[in-house]
Amino acid sequence: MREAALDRLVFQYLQKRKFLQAQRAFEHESRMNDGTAAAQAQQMALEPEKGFVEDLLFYITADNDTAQYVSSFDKLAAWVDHSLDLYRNELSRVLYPVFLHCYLELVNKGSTADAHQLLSKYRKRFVMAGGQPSKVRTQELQDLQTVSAPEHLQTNRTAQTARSMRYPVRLCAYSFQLLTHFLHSAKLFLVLGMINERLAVEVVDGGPQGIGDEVAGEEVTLLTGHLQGDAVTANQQPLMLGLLKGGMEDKFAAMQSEKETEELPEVDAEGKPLTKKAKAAAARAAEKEKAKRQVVATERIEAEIPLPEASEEMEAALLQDLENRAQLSSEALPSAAFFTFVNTHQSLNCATFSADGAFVAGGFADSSVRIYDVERAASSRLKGGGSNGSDVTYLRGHSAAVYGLDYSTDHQLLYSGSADGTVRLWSTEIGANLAAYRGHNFPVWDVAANPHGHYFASASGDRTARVWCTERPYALRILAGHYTDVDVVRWHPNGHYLATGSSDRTVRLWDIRDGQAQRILIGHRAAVTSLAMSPDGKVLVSGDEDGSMIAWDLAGAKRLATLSGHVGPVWSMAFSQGEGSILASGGADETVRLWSTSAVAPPTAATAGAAAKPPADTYTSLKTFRTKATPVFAVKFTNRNLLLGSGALTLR
Amino acid sequence: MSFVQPATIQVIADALEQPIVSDEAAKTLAPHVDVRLREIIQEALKFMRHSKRAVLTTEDLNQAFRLRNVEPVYGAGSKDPARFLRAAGHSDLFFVDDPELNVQQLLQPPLPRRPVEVGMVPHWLAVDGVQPAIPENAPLERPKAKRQRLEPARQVKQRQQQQQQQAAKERSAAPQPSAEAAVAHAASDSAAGEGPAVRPPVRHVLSVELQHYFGKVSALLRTPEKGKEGDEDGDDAKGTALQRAVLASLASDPGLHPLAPYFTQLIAEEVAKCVKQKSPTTSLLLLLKATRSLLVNEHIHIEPYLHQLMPAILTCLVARNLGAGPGDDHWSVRDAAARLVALVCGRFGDAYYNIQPRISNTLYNAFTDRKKPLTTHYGAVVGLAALGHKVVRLLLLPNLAPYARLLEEAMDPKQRNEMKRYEAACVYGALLRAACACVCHYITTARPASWQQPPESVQNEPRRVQLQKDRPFMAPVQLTITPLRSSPAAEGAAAQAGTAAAGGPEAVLADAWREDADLGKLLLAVHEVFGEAAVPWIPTQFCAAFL
Repeated sequence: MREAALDRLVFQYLQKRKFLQAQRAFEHESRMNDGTAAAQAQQMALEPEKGFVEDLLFYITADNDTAQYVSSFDKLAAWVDHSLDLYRNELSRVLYPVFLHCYLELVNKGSTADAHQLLSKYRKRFVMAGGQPSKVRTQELQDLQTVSAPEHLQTNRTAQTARSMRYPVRLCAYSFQLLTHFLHSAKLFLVLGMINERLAVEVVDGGPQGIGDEVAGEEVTLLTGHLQGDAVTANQQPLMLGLLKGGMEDKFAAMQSEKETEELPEVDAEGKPLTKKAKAAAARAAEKEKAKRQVVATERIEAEIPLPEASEEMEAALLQDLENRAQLSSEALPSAAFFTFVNTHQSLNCATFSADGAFVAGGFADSSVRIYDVERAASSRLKGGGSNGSDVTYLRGHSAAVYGLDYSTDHQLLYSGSADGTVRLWSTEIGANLAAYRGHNFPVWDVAANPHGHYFASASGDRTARVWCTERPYALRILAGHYTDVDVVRWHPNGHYLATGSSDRTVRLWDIRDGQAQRILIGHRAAVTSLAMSPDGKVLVSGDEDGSMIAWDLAGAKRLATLSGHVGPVWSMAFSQGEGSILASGGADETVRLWSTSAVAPPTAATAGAAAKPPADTYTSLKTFRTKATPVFAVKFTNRNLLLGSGALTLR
Repeated sequence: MSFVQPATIQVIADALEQPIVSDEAAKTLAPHVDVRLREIIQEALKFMRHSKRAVLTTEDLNQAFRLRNVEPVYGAGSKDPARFLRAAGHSDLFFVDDPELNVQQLLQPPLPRRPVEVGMVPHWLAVDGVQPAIPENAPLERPKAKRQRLEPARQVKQRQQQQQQQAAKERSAAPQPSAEAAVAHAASDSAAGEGPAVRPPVRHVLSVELQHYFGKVSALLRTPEKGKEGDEDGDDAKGTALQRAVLASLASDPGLHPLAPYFTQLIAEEVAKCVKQKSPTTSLLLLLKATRSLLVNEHIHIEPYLHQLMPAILTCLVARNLGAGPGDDHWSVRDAAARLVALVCGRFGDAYYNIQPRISNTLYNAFTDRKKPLTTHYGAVVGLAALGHKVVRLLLLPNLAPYARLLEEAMDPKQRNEMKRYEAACVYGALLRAACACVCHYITTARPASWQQPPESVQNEPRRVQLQKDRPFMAPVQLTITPLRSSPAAEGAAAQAGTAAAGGPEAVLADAWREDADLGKLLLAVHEVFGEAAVPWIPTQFCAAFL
């Protein structure tokens, strides 16, 4: 029997490698030996016995037998469906990755028809796995559907990732035992091999998890799952998130406190002289305030990159703004001015505001940048006439649609990024182009000016973000790492870090000193469309195409809260100035929403100790302002905490 | 599975005049084409997303082409979606509607208007967290208005309860005061404890802006009487411009709802004052215009305050004396009020089904009351006329003949009271207008009905039947002719109709309200009542009847 088995193996081997002459010779010789050996071999291949020979044989034959994949998967799916209720949820988690590999293997072997049949059979099941349609899976399956030839496997991103990653699956011990037993007993060695080779099965102690856990927890997606490893290492690096020393706000706070101590109240509200006790209490309160300020001051850092000195006029202007700043809280909501662009015929791509709200700049599809003088526009409107052209300055220079705009902090300069791959620097004073920065080969989707001057960053369709200095024609840093287009870029308030959001559904925080990704934040289920940093630099909020917004604690790389409310993409977000107690967001659903962010109140000793765990009532929706058929393209708080918003009137 | 079928490839190859590819090649090409298409669309979607749009345009696709170094598609750079038409006879073949245009035709028409320049409109989205109700903002949600609508009901309930309490107190004033009073008090208290009626009425908070606005507008609505004293032309012109602006604002501003109760009260008071003080009609007209503005403003829920407005409007319609003196043109005030009444009935008739019956009842009573002055009668007539032809037919026409006789007496040249004669003439005119318009309306609209039931009178006159068939529009005219000629057949028909024919115009008119009333006769009766004066009101094609 042993010899016969060996003969069989050899015979199958020759058959598979298409050594036709050798096969014939072997057949001939074995027939001479024992007339029925070859026939027996063929027959026995169909009814294999127990033992490793069968396994070996199986591998040899299965390679060519594409139907094997389909039937094995069908069997597995049927078994999962009839498994014990308690374990069915866990076991069904195995199905999706196995399915992916079956599909890709089928494509790889060139039997596209089988592959597509398999996909169409199981598509609905996987899309609806969580009880409701999963956008991510729909997208993934759609991507896979385009893969219809072996050569596409190399170019299709989803397929590539699926084949290269080990898909993590958590199973309880018993589920795993059930699975392996089934695979062995049903002789689904193909699937078994696939699970061994391509899945990272994590066996956990305890009972099986319900379906609820799966929905609530992070759904593993191909791309983000792939990143998980990188993210863990990146997210452990220390950050210095403190603001820069010598900031104007600190100076202002110091001045205020000096004033207060000088005018330590001698009489109370009713005009009665204070008792000794009250006086002591007041003094103690003042002490406490001082201590708090000192804590804050220790968190300030020295600049480690060359930064320009702030000019005196700027400081004076900022000081004036600080004195007039409206203190916002969930009780004291801001006023909001809105700038509606009319007659745009869908040509407005982006908008931004100067820091004082006196100018609104728009980037248009006709490659122009237009700056509107708010005061003149308002007065010409009051007079009854339409715009006579005196309130607008045209900046022409780009050769393709403009997608990103940002004012420098002193609003002397305006940066614009365009689909022609350049970033241009404009002087708002003389209304002329000063420089063009070439480097990106793909459209520049967003630009952001460093809050301290000198530098700016651009995000592009070439999957990189770049950091530039206004004085140099080349990029200082190229931040590569995102898997698809970098769509949005924002600076950290201390100017040492840069946050980027991408269509690969991740947000990254880069240190511009060494150009390394310091944080990889995974959690969005759609492309990231907007970012905002809290003024204290501890919290990052990112909004995505589905309308959900996630607040991240940067130091711990943890998700603080998920803010849902928007329907459709969130185009822009902004924290209020000062304490950052209000977050404003504007989206395609024609609303501006205000959110309370009490978690980002100035840190006291208590909150610093209690990590970054916010109380339950933080990040709640406060108010929704509806615009008139105007998707909100940009929102921003001025230094005096006036909320500005802009968008193009879109009539359907 | 792929969307591009091998057959599609064949068709495209044909269209490009390439040598026809083999089936095998087409089969291989199809999935590749599919992948390229998807790539291009994916790129184009990026451009769409960064333009912050939800609709993919051809321009996005061209941008994607350029990005991939592919020649863009020229001549399809429209922002509008392409219109696909289904090819006749094929279930799944579509093509773009792309008609060939003649250059000559393109050049001939004048150049199209210059596209409007992009503009930027600054406005307040919120002030201290509250969204102001201005036209630039989306209309605020309506729940507030709904609550306002409920308020009057609550007030009514409250009033009832107050009355109950009053009654209880009065009762308690009887013999055993202490015990009964306590019981009554308890009763009223418990009653008070049940419903929402006891809650103290919600304080109505008016923003400072609205208060200012109300102050300005009410000053303007009140001024005309003062302005009369020192009238200057320049001031007048300025005043009218201001008035026009205010009226426009009242008619369109979305934020005025909170002021509705104040405005209605103001109007009611001012109208009463004007009538009492015999102030000039211009002020009344202005008030009516303001009322009209409030009624047409779709952002104001005026329904709860209609009960306050209607008396004012009706006063302007049927008051005995309006305006400063006999020389004042109070007729136009009454006309304007009549139009307003019609507007109210048209706009709120659905919600308050009894509003029109009540108004027409009031007006009808005023009209039939012989003791009322002619001015009141005039108001009633124009009011009823404004309510529509059906009302005229039901209420005015049956009383037409006796009333017209009355008027003719008043208009008798021997009548010494010139004023009365003039007034009577006015009423006569209004009546004439209403009656003729009504009858003519019914004749013109009811034509098909009378055509369907050919009268017996025409049966023995084949020539006329022929005529009718040829020119159905003339049918009613011929119907009217029959009694004039008093042909025996027509007599018979009239006799069949019942007593109507027998009693002359008066009887015909008295039966005018009947659905089956003979319209031709009605017209004749009206003509008989008014004589030649009615002729100009009758459409020319029916005039033939009187020749």
